[in-house]
Amino acid sequence: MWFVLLIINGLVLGSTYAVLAVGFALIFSVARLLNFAHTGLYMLSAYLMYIFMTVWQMPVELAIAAAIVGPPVLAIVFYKLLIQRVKEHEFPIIILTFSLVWLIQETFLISFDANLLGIEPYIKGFTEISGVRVSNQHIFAFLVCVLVLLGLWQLLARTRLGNAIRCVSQDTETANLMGINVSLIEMITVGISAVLAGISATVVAPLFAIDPHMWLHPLIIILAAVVLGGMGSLIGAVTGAFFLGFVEVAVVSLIPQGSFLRGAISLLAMGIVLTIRPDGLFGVVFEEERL
Amino acid sequence: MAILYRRIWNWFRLEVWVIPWRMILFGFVLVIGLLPLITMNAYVLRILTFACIFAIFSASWDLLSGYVGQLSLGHCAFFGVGAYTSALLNIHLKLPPVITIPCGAAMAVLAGLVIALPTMRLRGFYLSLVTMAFPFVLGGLIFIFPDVSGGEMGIYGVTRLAGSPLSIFYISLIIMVLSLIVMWKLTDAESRFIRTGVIFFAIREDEIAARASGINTSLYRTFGFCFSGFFAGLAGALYAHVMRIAGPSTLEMLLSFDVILWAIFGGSTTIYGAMIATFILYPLMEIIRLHPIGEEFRIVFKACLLIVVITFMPHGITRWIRDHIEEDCPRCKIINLWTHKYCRACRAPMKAERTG
Amino acid sequence: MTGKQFFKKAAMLLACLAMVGFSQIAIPGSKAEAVNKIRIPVLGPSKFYPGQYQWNAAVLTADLINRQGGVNVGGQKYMLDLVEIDTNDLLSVSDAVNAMERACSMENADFIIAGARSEATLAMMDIAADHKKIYLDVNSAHPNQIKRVKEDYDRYKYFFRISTIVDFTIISYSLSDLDFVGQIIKKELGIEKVKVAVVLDKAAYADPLAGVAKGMLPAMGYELVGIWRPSYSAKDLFAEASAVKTSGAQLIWGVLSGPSGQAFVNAWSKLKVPAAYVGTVTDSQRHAFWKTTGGAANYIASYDSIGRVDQSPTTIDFYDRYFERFGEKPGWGSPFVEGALLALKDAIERAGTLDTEKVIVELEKTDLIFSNGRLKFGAKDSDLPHQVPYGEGYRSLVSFQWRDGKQLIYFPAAAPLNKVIYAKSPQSHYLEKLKFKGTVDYQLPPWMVDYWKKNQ
Repeated sequence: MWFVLLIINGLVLGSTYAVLAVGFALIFSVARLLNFAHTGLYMLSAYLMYIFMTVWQMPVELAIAAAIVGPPVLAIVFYKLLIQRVKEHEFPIIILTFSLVWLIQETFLISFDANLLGIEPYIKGFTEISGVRVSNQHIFAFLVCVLVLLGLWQLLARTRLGNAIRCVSQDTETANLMGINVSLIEMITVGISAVLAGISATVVAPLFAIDPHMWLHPLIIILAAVVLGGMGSLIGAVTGAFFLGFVEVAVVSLIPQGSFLRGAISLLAMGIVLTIRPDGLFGVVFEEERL
Repeated sequence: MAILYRRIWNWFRLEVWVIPWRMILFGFVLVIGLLPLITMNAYVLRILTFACIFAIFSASWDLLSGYVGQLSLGHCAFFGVGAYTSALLNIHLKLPPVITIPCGAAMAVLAGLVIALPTMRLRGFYLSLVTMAFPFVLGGLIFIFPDVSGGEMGIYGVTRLAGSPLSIFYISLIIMVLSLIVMWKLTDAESRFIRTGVIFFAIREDEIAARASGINTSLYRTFGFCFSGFFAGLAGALYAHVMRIAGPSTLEMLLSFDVILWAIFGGSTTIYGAMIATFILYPLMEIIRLHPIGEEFRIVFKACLLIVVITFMPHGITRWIRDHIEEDCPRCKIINLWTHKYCRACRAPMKAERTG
Repeated sequence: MTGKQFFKKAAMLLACLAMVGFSQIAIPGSKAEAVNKIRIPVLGPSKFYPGQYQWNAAVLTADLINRQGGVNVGGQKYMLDLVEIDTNDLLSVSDAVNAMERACSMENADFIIAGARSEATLAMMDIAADHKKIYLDVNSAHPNQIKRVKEDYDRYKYFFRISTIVDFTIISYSLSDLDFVGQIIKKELGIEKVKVAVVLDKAAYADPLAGVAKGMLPAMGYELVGIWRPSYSAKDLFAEASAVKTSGAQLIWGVLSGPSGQAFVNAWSKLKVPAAYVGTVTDSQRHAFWKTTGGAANYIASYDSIGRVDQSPTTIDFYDRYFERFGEKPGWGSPFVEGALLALKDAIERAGTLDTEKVIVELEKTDLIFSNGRLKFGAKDSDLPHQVPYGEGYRSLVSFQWRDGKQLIYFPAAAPLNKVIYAKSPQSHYLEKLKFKGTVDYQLPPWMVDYWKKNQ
């Protein structure tokens, strides 16, 4: 019975991390940006859900639509205005993305206070699988995440746009020479990544409490997941996210007195994997950095 | 004795006075040092003391990330190790701060070794994330053994650094200046006495070429971690004695991020940049809180300030300032004030003359 | 750009740097004190509701005192002048320390009311002791602070605590609460040995509780099926709630005073975990909790410092005044702040002066009634010096249960005390005699009753 608990909760938690991690990995592999604001956009999406559903009492569908549209708009505007001109320097990007997160955080901190807020889940009830209870919203989250990942895979593998994205991610210079509009592709990727963050938030926000500091923990998890799976590899990001999700759930189920250690142990696990395989599980070396 | 004074004066005249940036630094430190003449308010002195401590911390991050090239996201691990070690030694063995602070720094060096060795094969962002794991693991350990580490409450009742806020401030200031000078010497690529600066530079630029030249890059990377750890641990130990507690908050990720931001804002790859930025941003954030509107919007203000400055000065403010007030002589490459028409050493014209 | 423009830009930047440096001196220090005002900084995490509860209660009480003529200091009338300082202690201990330093040096106050978490309070105590300012603590609960007062009286005599101390009196209260509900489960469902799952914050004050659970629950006749320690600020506790359900517990003893409380309640309700909840969820003390959790709080029980019952002759009046002004019920820290201000006024008036040393002597003699009960600080040579105790003749907590959007008090209910508890803590005897007017019965969640009736 514990095994079932582990599998189910691990899948659910892992899938939510996976969608977030994939967005982050996508931007990194295409635009070489460490987008620390990724989970900030996730938080923005969650707050938009809250504002639409609870404050303005709008129907759920409208709230979800707003929450999915909001982050890409903000992300693209910010990217175009500020990030694009300092793209080559690694350090300023860190500052700029952090500043964006802080602006988002403060906007909500000032408007709503630091107290926790909640949203009604729009998928109600729970299911019992071999004695283990899972809420239907969690199952919905898992299904949506799997669909999104499959959709992304299809996008990247089958469409022209996906092709272009993969080209830019493998070798930016050559892609440019072949006539692909690299800066347009990068902009589109930023948008897609933000949409992914938004989707992740819309399915998960009803399960967690919303507060202005909710971006920190997922950021650490997805950084770890992306690194664990190998920078620049989307499969790696997904694998890493699921791995960390399972480790966290294992800690909670098997060492209940140590459930506060879930963060520490997952990161330790990541560290150990990296010591064995320094490039991550599916590490990809970028053309420019190949010496 | 007179010869000594003469030599110091000459050094000052030739090495500091003529190089505009060094003059500014000198003046800056002087101003900070003489501030207590104008105000003895304990609150102001405390803010400045913390600024000194965080400046050391920030500069140590810059040492590791700017020079050795390893973006370290878990720098607060060293800080926490230094803080906890000195606090524990002080409480349990009743050792005075004079002994516990160096011990705290030494322990942090050990932590640097512990971090450097398993990560020998890691590069770039992988390394950064593994460094990030360390504060969490340490934090976990602290909570697992609350009897030894004080658990969530931390260790309290640490003896103070000195008798009065004024002496605490001066001790921190002097330690900061000395630490920064040592750090600068360690990373100065033009120094003829200490080679580490040049070697760090080489490793950062092209590690494989450096290795091909016979430099033991692993050894120097470990040095980098250890040096950086030493100073971060020093800052942590000082912090423990000034705050008189050492708690899990010293291992907070948020503190780590703040420090990184100051270092980058001030100018990555410059030791003094971190100091300047810390002294600008940290007191600014505190002072703003005295104003009711400032209290509400202070992080918004910080974010906007960061965005504006970084967009126009991507390498940090000190680099930008240096670029604009200093010029290299085209013939002898010595630094000159930008207003000079002729180089101070070789008398060559600083700007090429137009012909025709 | 020409050299002149470089010069201007650089000069401006340098001027900014210099200004920043000198602005630290130019900031006006404490504002010139108006004649006859006692300036009292109230420190707390203003962005979070505990800080808001403290500040609201302070404003309410100070206004009342001022309207009734202020404080009589040796014949002269003084008005209370409160200033709110944000400690941000939930996120940063060094912010809290700076806040205390500011209160002592910049505001130049002599009396400080502060409610911060225990880790920060220890550091803040030192600063107040350095500056020799009276520090009235209205939030922290760890025994260490009082231990310091006992061990080094001369240095820490400035520290007085009106908030709860987590000692055995409080623990016995919670265990009696648990036993009360446990007996109800035994009776209604006919279960001989009730299984208890324990969920505690990973926070310092809860550490002794784990030991207590292991030691006392089996002796009390319960079966302990597991102890979970989620992190204080955990957001998602579905895994833990699922595990609790799988463990087969019928009763949950939870002590969750951080954001983890809301997360657990959410999970417990969504998964319809078939176990009754007893203990505390600090978040659930707020009226807004019902809306925030969308009604998931139904059947959750928690203890609270104040309820709309007559814990003392002035309780209901305070409750109603607070509700009328702020639209919310007073929170955990509110009665403590009220008590602090009343005690301060009383002591200053009896001392006839604002001199700190004399006021301390008078504070130690305080004996007044406030909204929580009787306020009397422990004598300096007692076991708990400068701490306002709980128990017979002093004050009691109340436990409420959320039912259909209302918080209904169900305990203390003059129920017989479990023998094991009585043996360890005879002073808890007062619970057998205490029952406030308006107390109702505890109701088990219907889904739990259904589940156990089916799965006997």
